Amino acid sequence: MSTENKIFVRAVACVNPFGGTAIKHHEVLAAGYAAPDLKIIIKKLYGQPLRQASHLVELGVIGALTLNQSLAKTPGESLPQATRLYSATGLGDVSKNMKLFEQVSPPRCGLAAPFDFINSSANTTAFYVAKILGLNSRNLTISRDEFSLEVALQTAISDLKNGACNYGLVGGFDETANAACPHFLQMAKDAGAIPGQGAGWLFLSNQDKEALGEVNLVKLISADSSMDTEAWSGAITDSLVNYIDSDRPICLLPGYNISQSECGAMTEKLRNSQVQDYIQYSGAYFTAAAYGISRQFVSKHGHDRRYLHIMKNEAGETMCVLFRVYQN
Amino acid sequence: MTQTCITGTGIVSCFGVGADVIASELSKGHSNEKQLSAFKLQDSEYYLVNEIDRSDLDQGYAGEIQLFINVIKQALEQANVKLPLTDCGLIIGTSGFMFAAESEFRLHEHSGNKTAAAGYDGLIINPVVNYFGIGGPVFSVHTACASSANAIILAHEMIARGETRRVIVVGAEGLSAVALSGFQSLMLLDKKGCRPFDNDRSGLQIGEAYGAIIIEAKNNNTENESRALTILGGENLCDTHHVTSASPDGIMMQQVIQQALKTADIKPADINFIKAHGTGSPDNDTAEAAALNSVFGQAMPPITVLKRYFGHTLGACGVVETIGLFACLQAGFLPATAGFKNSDPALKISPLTKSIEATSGYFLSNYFGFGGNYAALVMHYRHETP
Repeated sequence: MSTENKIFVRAVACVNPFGGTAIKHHEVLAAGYAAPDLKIIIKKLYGQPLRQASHLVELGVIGALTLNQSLAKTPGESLPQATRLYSATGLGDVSKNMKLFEQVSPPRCGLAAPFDFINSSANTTAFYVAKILGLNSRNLTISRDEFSLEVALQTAISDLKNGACNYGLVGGFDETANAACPHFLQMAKDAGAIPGQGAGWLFLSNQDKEALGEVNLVKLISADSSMDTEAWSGAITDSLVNYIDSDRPICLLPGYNISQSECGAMTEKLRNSQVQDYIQYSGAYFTAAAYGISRQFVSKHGHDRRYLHIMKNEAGETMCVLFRVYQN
Repeated sequence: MTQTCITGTGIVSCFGVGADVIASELSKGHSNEKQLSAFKLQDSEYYLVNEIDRSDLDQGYAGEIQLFINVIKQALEQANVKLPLTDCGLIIGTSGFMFAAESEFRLHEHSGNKTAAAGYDGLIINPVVNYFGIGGPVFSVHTACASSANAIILAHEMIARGETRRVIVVGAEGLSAVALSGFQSLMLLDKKGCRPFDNDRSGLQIGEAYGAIIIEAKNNNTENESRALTILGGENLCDTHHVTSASPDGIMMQQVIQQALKTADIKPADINFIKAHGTGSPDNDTAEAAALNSVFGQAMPPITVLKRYFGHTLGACGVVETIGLFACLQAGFLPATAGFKNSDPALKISPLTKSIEATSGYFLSNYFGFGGNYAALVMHYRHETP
């Protein structure tokens, strides 16, 4: 097992706008409730509302504030000012975009409302997170459709492993409930999931102090039309060889575009691993992986557990995230 | 850190297709702005813009994909890189593809189909990836007007760390009614065109352009080593003063410049010239001037600004201005700052009013965006007499 260049998870947060348990979240999504006004939660966490911030900004900020609060529970722990911020969003502030098009198009042909315009900038959430948490280091907003979170995570891990920074805050957030995005809706339908919204954040470090776990690998497996399911699952498990050290099973977290047969092939390769279909309770949104991954660190475990998150995109590429949650 | 170099460029701008025409126009000091014609907007007198000639392009997403393919083809040809690009990444720097979604929205507005507006990056990027057979990492950076500058920094770092052999960085920005009227709502447009660092400056002038650069390790092969533009490093920091305006004292701009110089292992005194961001907005230019004065003091190198020539191409300006600047340097000159006439005594800087001869040396490029997103790049240009 490779032990060098480990990247540790120091704090996490996963939020959905409805609060409550995963089961409750699924119930409210299924019942079609509109997402609640998040300003009350912001006020509770931050002490004041974010004036003119959009729902998406609030969603991202609530996740980051929740993480910061959980970190502060450990004496002496806080987010260092030099923490690099890597935020991921697949659709950005899609509801604001719609509103803006209607403001400037016929019959209105008016001016874009200033705050709608500001909120439509994909990096506005990252700005507010940095401002509220006092971070002034590198600040990136990255997008790659359903791989957005994974690419942000990969970028952070590269920086940490190469010593470009010691701390990275990685988050994914999206809202899709009002988005009539055909590609996304099809993807959610294929996953048998209800469109939702939420955020997940991970505070990473190359130092193991007070770590909750570690991220071992973020890897892209290229699309290869000649690969059948067996070869595909073999290619994934081959890439994990250096990171698996025992007979302990790995819990599989399937993201989007993973078929039943692919899921079956992977569980077989991973010694009959458990499968956790997290999208069923997170709700479907482009960066739901952020929620699915961070949630595993919140759950109580009597022993160390390893997880493999896998996701495919429409081009047939696969993105894998292997991580370990320490006994807590 | 390993140095990287730019081995190919491609551009479609208000000057047309390719970089050669840019050098020719900028050598004469020609800026190419005109009144907005692409669509109708309230307060039309404010919309002095730099438009791409889209007469041969499709509308909607299809037209944006054509522009992507056009600029990447130019860059690959110049870099002499053959398809498929299995060992190549693609990083796109844009403020967001809302301009493309808006174009698609206009295409369908009579049919009432609003789904087009819920576009995502892959609608444009995936066809491009498939067309060129790009097998490396692919993603977009959305950090407002610093987007493609940050994309250059990330590409440079990925190559220097050995994560991929080469990266195509595309800066992409189209004109949009939302962006134009959004800046107008914020009272950030100058109806007389942008006047960077000028005493009478009063705002931005928006432009559209697509640019592509190929970045490779400097020791990739002997041919690349002969390339004239080397990337030494860059940095990105966040100014949390305000979501749309910079700290007036320029402190974070100063820090990002200093960090970029440190990353590149270059001292301020080694900088041959500066390509400033210079949007022409009163606040941004004030902060940038303060930052430059703090870093360079009395030994201020020559400063040029390209915003009047191309318009502010927002997320694309990192790539577009790198290509424009490189074209001018290769043609033997550092361009004058179009739009600048009268010094602002409060700024204590005066950009070039006449072009000067290009010489080999290090230079600094600044890019500052909304959300306090600041990037600075340090490069080296080696002049070869044609």
